[in-house]
Amino acid sequence: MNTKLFERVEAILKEEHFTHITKYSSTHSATLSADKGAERLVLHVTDRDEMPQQAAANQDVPAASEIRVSATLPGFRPELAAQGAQRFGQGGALRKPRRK
Amino acid sequence: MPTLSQYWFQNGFFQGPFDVWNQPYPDGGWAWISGGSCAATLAWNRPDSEQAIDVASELNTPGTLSQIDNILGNSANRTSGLMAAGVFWPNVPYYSQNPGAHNNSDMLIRVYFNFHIGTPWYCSDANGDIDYYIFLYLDGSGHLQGYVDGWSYHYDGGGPFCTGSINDALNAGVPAGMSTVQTILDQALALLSGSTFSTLYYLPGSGTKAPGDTSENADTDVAIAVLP
Repeated sequence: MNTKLFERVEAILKEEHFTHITKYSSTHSATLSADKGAERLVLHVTDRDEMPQQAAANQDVPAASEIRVSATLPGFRPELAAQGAQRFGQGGALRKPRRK
Repeated sequence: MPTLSQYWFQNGFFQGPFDVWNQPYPDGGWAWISGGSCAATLAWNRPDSEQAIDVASELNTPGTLSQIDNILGNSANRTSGLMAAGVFWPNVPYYSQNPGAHNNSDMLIRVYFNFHIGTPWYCSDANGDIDYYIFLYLDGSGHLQGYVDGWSYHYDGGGPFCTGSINDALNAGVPAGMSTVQTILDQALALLSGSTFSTLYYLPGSGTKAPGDTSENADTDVAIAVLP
């Protein structure tokens, strides 16, 4: 991110006797703040909107072939559970251990 | 003695506040449970051989909390204990990135805690939660295994100018924390390494079998249940 603008503004602020000139920067933004008495100033530059949530899967996980039994409700259908007004049910036997 | 457990969820299946009634009954005998108005209900016939592990209780030890706090470093403060909830795969935040990674009926354990990040005067402070999703399974030998399947975070605040620096800190710290959580998980699973099981499932809340009525919250605790 081009911060030359910040350098020019900082020089102007010093000329105008602003103090507590502070710069914070992140990957996609930079912020400069300063004050002079009761006056407070903020300059913020960014090149994208930052969303307050992120999520990602772990890429280093065991192969599916290593999994014999997972924690599950057999036959469970999440889309039906989300329909609160509709009654439904599921039943069945528990999975039996594999014969050795 | 087997136990018939019925769970009444106030908000939705395997979510939020719920009541449970546990009714023990003799082998080959019968049991019934009456009453309860709710949004969803789950009845589970629990064999006497069931082992149930209360996840939140196991996690909230000084040693584990100290390891979790090291994930955050100086960038954020943990403001809650560790909480755990059973979630179906389609409800995991990164589900859309690879829906076929698990079956839709598979459940993961969401281990999470709240955090606070202070900001300069021109931004509001941020409050949110950091989440790790644990996938447990039985391997071909019947041993209980598990891994950290992914991570997420969400927060409110940080506006108008501080979400960039907050995200930078969280994007560095939260994924790196998966190794810490995996270490904690491995330590816990090592205690069961000498046992083999045929069935694995989750129960909402602590998994109590105490006869009678109990009220708990499925959003803050889950129990791992295994059968030999």
